[in-house]
Parts: sequence; structure tokens; C-alpha cells
Amino acid sequence: MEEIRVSSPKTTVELIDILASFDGKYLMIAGCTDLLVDSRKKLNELELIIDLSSIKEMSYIKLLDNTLVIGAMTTFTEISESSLVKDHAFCLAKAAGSIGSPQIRNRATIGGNIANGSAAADSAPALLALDAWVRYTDRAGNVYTVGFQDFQENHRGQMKEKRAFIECIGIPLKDGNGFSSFIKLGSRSEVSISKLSLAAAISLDDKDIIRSFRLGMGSVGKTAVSVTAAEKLMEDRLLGDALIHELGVLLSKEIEELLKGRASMPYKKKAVIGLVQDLFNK
Amino acid sequence: MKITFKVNGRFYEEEIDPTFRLIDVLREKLGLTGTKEGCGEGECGSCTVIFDGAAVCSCLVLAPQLEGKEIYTVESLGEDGQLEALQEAFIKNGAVQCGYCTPGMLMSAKALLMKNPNPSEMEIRTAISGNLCRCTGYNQIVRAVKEVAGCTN
Repeated sequence: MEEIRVSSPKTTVELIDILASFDGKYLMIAGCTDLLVDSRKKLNELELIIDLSSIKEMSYIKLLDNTLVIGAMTTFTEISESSLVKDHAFCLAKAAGSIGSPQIRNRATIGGNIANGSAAADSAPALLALDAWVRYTDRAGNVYTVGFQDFQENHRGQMKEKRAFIECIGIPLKDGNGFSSFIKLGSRSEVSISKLSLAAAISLDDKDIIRSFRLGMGSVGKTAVSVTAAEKLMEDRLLGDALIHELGVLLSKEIEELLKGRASMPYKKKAVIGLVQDLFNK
Repeated sequence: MKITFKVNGRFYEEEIDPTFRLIDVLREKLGLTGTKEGCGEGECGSCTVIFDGAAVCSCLVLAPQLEGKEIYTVESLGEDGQLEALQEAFIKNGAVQCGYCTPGMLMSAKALLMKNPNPSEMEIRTAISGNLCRCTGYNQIVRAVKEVAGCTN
């Protein structure tokens, strides 16, 4: 059997050249923390492995035009420890710090997490709550910038066909008072796959009235979901215990619908009522 | 494929199957069997090594990703046949029982102390949170690391 070829481009220009000139069966690898768990045997079916870990220009966290921009090869350790992320996208820092273990966070990247697209990906609810966008480039050098929800639903599945790679994600900064939070429920505190996760981003006025509210929920279907009914419930209301309870009841009904017929539904629809309280208490 | 990298300060240039993982390279190519494989999927931490200054699971690094990198395994601890302080503290505090998790625990603790020589107990517990031990109940391990770090909190 012929040995698999490996390319380790150092720049995105080299990467585009490789994608443009190769038509065989290939796989792009980033941190490898999902790949080596699910499909090591599949490596033998490939003609080419493209290892992105040498592309330094894709690993950064910076503020640009009122947007927090994070390179696709940035690790979850870097994201969870970044003061920029903690200041402007706290729920993402919190989600990043709850992924796997320190060893996994040292390798796993945000680009890999969203490209892999697990239903339990912890970054996904946070990116939904933060109105994040994803920028990706195809083999012809065309650049696409799409909302994270649109990316999950319509673009992620076409990445292979387009021979595209994720360059970065962007999080528009919000004005005024606000905060965001993330919480997950798993079977243990570390190295735990989320059974249910919630991320919320809230803007308040000076009287604690909610001016905008976004909520992402993970592990409730094929992809994380944005709960628009929660936005309608929360906006223009005073943040307090009664409203948080109402939100829990609403999310419980959403879960009943989203997971109809699934064995995990009765547990998750109860658990979310407590989880949403923890989301606001942390 | 030919891969060049450093392990425990020694330079290697080896012909390696690109589907090998770092743990396969260490154990099968280099004979460094101190690193133990447990779950093989990043859950237990027994295969932890230090890779470019950070603790990683060697079962989750693909061989081509070693190019130009520097790795430290449990065999790097101690000098001239003498154990290093961290290893001594593990023995003294009963932090080694069956011993299977010990190489991974030591390397997670070592990675923490390299980055932060004076960690708090919480930071120690976080640093070893990806390493499972089914014998000690963890307190002896935390005590051993605290002793070396000289922390009082």
C-alpha cells in the first residue's frame, strides 16, 4: 500500500496552492483531538493529510474594527486565558475553558471544533449567543463571511466540496452594559461531553432592563440552536429570578419539541430549568 | 515519511508511518516505554507528555505534527539515576499506588510547575484534572505537588 502523503503548509497562501492543485481524497487536520478519537482507521483511506498546525498566521486573538477576531488555529487554552476574550466574549472564554482537559485544550482549536461540527461542541452555543461570524476561503481564493448559524446549517457541509478552510471567526463588540455566560451539564466536571449546554449574551440599560438577549443551546439536536423565542421573552423586561424561571420553562418546552421521541428528552427538559438558573448565578 | 524532532533533549531524524501517533513513536520507535497508553482517546491522561512546553495527550498527536517540535517524557525527569524532587515527593506522599497513571500525572504536574512555579492548590487540581487515578483519590498527588511547589494555600 502506498504511504499517505502529508503536507504541512506554513502560510495560508501555501495552503490554497495545495488545495488548488490536489484533486484526490484528503483530510485537513488541526489539533487532531477529535480525529484521532473517531477515525484513525480512516486515515488509511486517504491520499493526502494537510496538517494546519504549522500555519502561525492563523493563530491569533485581536480587536479589529470593533470586532474580536480569533484565528482558526487558536487553541482553547489560548482562548480561555485571553484577557481580550474574557473582556469581550466571556461566555466563549468560559466554554473554551470547559472543553475536555488541559491536555486537550492545549491542542484543540476553535477552527477544528466548528469544522468538526459535533452536536455537543462547546464553542457553538457561545458563538450563537455572541452573533459570531465565520470566514472561510476556498481553493480558488474566494472568501466567504457568514453568520455562525448559517455556517452550521448551510456551509459546513460544503467545505469539503469547495476544498475550503476556516480562516477565523469574528465577534462584533456590543455597546453599553452587558455580560455573557456559559454553562454545561456533563457526567463529570472534567473531560466531559456536554449533555446540555447554554450560553447567553445580555445587554442591559442602567435600570437593569434587558435591551438585547441572545441564547445558544447545545446538545439538543444535530447542531447548537439559537432560541429566538427566548429573545422575545427577555427583551424589555427586568432581569430577575421570576424572569429567569420563565426562561427555564420556555427552554424546557423548546427541548420537548427539539428532542421529541429521544430517550434523553425527559431528563434534559427538567435539567434545563436548573441549568438556566446556574447560568445566571455564575 | 522522514520526521525530525527532539525528545528529552536528544535530536531524532526518523522514518515514521504518518498514521502513527506520538505515543506509538515514543514507545515503538524510540523504546521510551515510560509513557503509558490508557484509553487511547484523550480521556485518562496516562499518556501525557510535554509537547512544546505544554501538557498534551500523546495518543492525540499525529506523527507528522512532531516535525521540528520538542517533547519531554517521564524519562526526562531526574538526572544521573537520581529522582527529581517531584518524583521523591510522589513517593513520600503515597501518590504512587498501582503506578499506571504516575508518568502522566508527573508530566502534567511538571508542565504546570514549568509555567507556574508557585501554583495554588486550585491550580494544581486544574492541571491534573485531565489525569485519572483510580487508586489514590488524588489528595496524595495534590499534596506531593504542593510540597514541591512550596505552596501554602
